[in-house]
Amino acid sequence: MQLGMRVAELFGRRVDGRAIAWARALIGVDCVLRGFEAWGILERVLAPGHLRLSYVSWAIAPSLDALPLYIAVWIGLALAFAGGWLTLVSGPVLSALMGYTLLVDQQTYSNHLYLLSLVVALLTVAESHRRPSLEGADPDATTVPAWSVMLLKLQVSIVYIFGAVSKINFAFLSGAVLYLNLRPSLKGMVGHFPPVLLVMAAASILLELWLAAALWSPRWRTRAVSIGIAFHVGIVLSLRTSESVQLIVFTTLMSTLYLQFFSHTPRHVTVYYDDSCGVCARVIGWFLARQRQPWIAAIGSTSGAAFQHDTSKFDLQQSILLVDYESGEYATGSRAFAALVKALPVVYQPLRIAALPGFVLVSDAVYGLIAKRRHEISSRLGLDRCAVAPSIGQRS
Amino acid sequence: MDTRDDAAPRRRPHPRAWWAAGLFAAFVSAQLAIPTLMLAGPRPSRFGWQMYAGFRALDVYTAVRHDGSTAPIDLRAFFGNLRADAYIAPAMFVPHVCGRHSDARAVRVRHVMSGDTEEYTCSSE
Repeated sequence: MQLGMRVAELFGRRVDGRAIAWARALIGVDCVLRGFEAWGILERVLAPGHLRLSYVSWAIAPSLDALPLYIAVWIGLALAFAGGWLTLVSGPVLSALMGYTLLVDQQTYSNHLYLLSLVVALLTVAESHRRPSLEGADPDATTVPAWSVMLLKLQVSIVYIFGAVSKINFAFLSGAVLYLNLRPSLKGMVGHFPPVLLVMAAASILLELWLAAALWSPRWRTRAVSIGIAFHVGIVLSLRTSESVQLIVFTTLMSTLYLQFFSHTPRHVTVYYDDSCGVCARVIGWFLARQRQPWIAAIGSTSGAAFQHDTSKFDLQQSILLVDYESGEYATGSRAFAALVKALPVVYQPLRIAALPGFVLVSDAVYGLIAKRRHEISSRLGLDRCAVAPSIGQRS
Repeated sequence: MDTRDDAAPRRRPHPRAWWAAGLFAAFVSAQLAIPTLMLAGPRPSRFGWQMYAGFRALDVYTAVRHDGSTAPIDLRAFFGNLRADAYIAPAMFVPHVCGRHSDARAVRVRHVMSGDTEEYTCSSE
């Protein structure tokens, strides 16, 4: 194949853009938060009596008087970007403003701000403006360039790989860097057990390297997301509170970028549900009414003749059963609900977090609780009471 | 949540594919080259994704009075948001220390990372 054709094929490919829409909204909000943080930092740097540490000669910091306007522009652009309003302007200008802030003084640098600036630029080239936004949803704009999504994914792994490799030095491996940055209350605790710091240091390096690779593995991806979120939340809770806002910004940013590793294209599925239960039928009806295209085929458990799959291994009185049309894979409980959500518009997609490892323990427990009481709930809501008594054992 | 890679329907090849390929290659190259170069420097260094990657102590400044006694200089009194990876040029900073410590005849700088010590005389002007 000619190089030109291959380039055209690779860089003409498009993927579902719903995760890009969410990333734009969440990272826009992240930029608002970081804008307020930058205000405080710049106020201290520019305060009378404080010296400046020039980084590049041409980057002139705003004056203290102009700072509120500088931050107002930042936050205004971030809000516009989050809402998808004039994204082709707000994205590049916001990215440039944050990048410029990194350069006005050595004291304004932050890895998180650098990453935010890059990601906003990448989201702009990812055509995030074409997704549902304040400018109005474009029904044809269901896809975004695959290469731009790939760049966001690579950026995540690059941050983790270099974050890990740069920590391979005596100061970090000794636990000293961690100790110096821990919250005082934790310092007191681990200070008595220095080996804990050694283990934490080595584990964080290994974990970052693992995350960089595991996010690309279909087998490990969901576990990597749960572990990655727990890792970042752990960092926020254990490091100095003076860094908390920046660490929260970083946690939100990385968690949002995790979304890019997943397939968000709706799939044709068949769902079997207890149609003798009023609330069950109402919930399934809610999904059917909101799906953008007929991705979901719903079959009631009492319509045995209509069954298209072997359901004998599952108790349809205990849980809905979902079968993927293409792969033939089965899912029950909250995992089935998460798969159903894929057929819904973009605003409902965060509900899919319920199927992630760790989260699924909670969501399955809630699901089980509701499933057991579905008849009572149906009755209280004035919906049809179940005609069939709830089954306790497995279907024979 | 599905874990499979996207398999969205393909459209006609984008006419700007070459621009996209160039941007892609430039971005990835920069994101590999810059952090790799930064690994050769002290940790943490900027633009290298070196978060909490090492211990980098700032130089220690001491004012030396006319009677030979010394007084430590608190850098936080001079800078609003000092970071460990900041470089403070003594030639720029010493005049400010001398200005605030009128009884100082010199400023001693101990470079913590190298262990070297330098002394800068305060100008009488």
